[in-house]
Amino acid sequence: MTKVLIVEDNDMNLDMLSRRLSRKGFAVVSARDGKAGVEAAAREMPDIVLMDISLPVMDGWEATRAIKADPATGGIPVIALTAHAMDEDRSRALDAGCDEFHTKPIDLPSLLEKIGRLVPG
Amino acid sequence: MSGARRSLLKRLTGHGIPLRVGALSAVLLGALIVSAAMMAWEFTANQKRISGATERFHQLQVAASADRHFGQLRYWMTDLSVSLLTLSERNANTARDLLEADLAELEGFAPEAAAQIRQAAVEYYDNALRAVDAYTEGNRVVGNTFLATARQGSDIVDVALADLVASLSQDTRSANLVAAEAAQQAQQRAIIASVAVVLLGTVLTLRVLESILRPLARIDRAMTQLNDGVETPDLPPEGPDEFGRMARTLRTLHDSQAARRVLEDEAAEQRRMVLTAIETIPDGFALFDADDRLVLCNARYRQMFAPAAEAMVEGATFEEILHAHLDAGLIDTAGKSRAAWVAERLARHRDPAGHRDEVLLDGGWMLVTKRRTPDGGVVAVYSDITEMKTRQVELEQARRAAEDANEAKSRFLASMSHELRTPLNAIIGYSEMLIEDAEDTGQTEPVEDLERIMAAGKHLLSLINDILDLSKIEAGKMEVHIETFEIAPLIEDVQSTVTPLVRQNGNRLAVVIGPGVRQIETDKTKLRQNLFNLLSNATKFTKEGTVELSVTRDEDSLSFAVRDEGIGMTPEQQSRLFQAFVQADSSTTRNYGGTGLGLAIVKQFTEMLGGSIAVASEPGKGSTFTLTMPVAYPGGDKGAAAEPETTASAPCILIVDDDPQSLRHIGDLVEAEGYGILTAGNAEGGLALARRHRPAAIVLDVIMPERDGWSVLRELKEDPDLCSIPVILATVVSDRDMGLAFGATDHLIKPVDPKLLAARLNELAGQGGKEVLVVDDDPGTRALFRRVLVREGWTVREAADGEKALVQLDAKRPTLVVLDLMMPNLDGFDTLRKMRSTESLADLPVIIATSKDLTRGEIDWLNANAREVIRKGAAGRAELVAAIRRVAGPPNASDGQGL
Repeated sequence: MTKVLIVEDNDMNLDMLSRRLSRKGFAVVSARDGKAGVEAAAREMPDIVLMDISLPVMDGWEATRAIKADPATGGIPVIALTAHAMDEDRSRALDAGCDEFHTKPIDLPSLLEKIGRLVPG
Repeated sequence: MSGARRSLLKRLTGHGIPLRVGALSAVLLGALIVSAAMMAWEFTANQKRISGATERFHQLQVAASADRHFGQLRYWMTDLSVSLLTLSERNANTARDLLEADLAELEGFAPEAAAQIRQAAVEYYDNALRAVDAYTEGNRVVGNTFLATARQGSDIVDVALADLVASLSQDTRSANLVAAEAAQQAQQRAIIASVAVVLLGTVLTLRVLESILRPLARIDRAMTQLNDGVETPDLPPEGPDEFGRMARTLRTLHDSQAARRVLEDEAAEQRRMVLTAIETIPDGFALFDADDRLVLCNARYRQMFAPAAEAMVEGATFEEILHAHLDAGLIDTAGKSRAAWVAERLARHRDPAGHRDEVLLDGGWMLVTKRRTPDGGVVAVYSDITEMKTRQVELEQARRAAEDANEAKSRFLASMSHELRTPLNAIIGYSEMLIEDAEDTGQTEPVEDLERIMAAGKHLLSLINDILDLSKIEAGKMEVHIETFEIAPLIEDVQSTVTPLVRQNGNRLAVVIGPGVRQIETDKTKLRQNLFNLLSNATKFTKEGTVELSVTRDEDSLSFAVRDEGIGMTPEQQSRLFQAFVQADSSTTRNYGGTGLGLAIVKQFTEMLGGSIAVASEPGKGSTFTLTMPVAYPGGDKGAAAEPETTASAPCILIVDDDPQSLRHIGDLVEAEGYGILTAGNAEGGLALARRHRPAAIVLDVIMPERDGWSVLRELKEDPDLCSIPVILATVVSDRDMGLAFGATDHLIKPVDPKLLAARLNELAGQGGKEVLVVDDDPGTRALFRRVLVREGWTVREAADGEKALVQLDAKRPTLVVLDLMMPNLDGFDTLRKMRSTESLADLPVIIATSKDLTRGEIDWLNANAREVIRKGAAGRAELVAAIRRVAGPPNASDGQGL
């Protein structure tokens, strides 16, 4: 079962996304801020991380960089989730080491496609 | 008398002064000569008269002498007769000789008297001699008788002589009288003549002088008047003489003086006007000469620098004026030394280009504008711009405030949109989830309402997106990301996105892509959004009709026309169409939905990308929106992206034909088949293009002037680099065998049949001939790719690793390579690196297909060395097709057109 780490501070978004993904057969773990997200990644070793960008304590860019910098978690693909439908966010996400970029509100089929591409099998 | 004088004067003034003076001299000289001649003549006449009188006096003397000598003769004869002495005889003979001499002389003027006297004297002498002889002989009586007879003769002589003397003296006296009288008359005449000459001379001299002096005096007077500037001087009459000419000269002088006076008046008037104008302008005005001296200025100038006005007088130098300004405390030198400040101002003043400075003066602002005059002077204008400056500052503040406000607004909108999106996420997400739940549990009742909630949420989201876009555009923060991409995949993408909307209203979508439509360099996202907006608009306003999107290529632009069969618009509605928040009609929103922002965004995006949008519409008949985009993005220097070469993406066909019409015809056919074209009008040009571009095929006209197609064909086939390029001969005569013998691949008869040409090209250079090498160590992947590619019309070769791939590539160069990265022996990176360092493979298009997690550095390197990087996986197949189409052009021109 594919394990997804969702790092998201908004309760409703987290609830919604985790429930939808669970229903699609993913194992979902979550963290409420960037720092907790980095720790959760190291602890849980998920198959993929869905990283919100506007996060308390440590923002999504920084958290992604931390995950990618750790040799243990560096290979885990990260999809940045952002409400800013802006091109500069896309390049910032890639600069930070994100493997993909997804704009909120989340269109589930396309998110699933991206996950499928990054996590074979 | 005065009449005669005037006529004389007139006659005189008719001639020149030398003639006049000459004539006077001649007349006086003539008079002198005449009078002298007259006097000489008189003198001669007098002399003659005097000599006549002398002659008479001499005759009288001769007569008296004869009388005396006869008396002596008579005495001595008588004495002799008495004495008989020899002496007496001798004396008597002498007297007789003397008498004879006198008589001889008398004969000259009184011959009769002389002859009478001589006869009487001879008779006397003879008788006297006889008497002497008688006495000598002593015959006294006889002597006495002879003597008596002699005495008678002597008496006759005496009487005769006495008569003669009396007559002569009478003559002499009368002659003397006549001479005296004549002399007196001559004297009188001489006096009269002299007086006459003097009078004549005086009169003439006076006239001549008058004829000279009078006009001279007038001319003198006129000249004095001219000199004094009298406006109507008494000018002497003009005439043929010197004075006439002088008068003419004076008139000319007067006329020119008058003309000059008029000009001077005009000049003075103009000067007055200019001065008035200069004085009237509200700015300070000063004119400096080439030596920087103030020549002219107006009162405003002095007033502006009032405390230093005393120094600002004509003749003062600019430097002196500057010092006066400093002394008056008008100037803030901004920390500079006085000398430095003056030197700087002087340099500015003398700047040949002139200058324009805003100067802080005495608390106010002044604009100083200086310009060089053509003669080296300087015109300076001083304008008080304090008010303008104040306003400018206020405006600047206002502008900054407005900008700040706008910035705040944009920030607010950006954060608002974020804040709005988060709950919207929840609304859309939860309604979606509820729909899924409801469908899963079979509770269909709430699904419809949930769908309404979701649709409303999505509408709200698009509204927020539009507002965000517009605010970004307004704030100038909308960035463009220019790239060169294929049109066809974009259209397909848009088409698939809009299709659900099209179907909602029961519409049909027709897509027509014209010939020559291949690539465009622009912002792909924005173009896609524009097309989507136009299409969704068109389908929104059309019910059960056709919406058509047609793309056509012009010279250097692409036109995207979206035609609908909707409600259409009046011209008035069209005019408001592209304004934000305005739809054709405010009721439209109610009836058709939409934000009214779409077209405003389309217009803004289009203009941002250098394009334009136009609309043609008629109420009830539908509308056509035409988006015209430049093929190459006009802003910025995106050289690499703007590369117009089509050879890499679509195979390029070289057409060589000397007939432009034929060239265009075949060119259009080739382009319509989706190929790039190169054209040449002659053999040399064709060969040059072939060498430079290595076209996929060559369509060659056989009959050309200068060098014909055969010769080109031969040269192509002899060149090792070019001999592999297939050549299609196009000619009006059928000599297929000959063409094939020379190495031509095929032969077409003109006029070229489009279908035949297309078939040949596709065989030779097109899809049929396109070969792809798939390099992957996984046989399953290779098989999958083969299926996909073959369906796309490709010939597929395979290699299991990099080493094998290089061997294959060395043997034959394919159209493109699809390369995996993680492979045994030689991985994809090294394979690509080797290809790029091999000359014949350096430009071979490569598509990387990988499941590897790429680092940033790897992505950058691949972006530089490969055409596309795609991910294997769920979407890998579609991505491969899209990438291949982007790299090698559409598989078939008839595909993707229409639904």
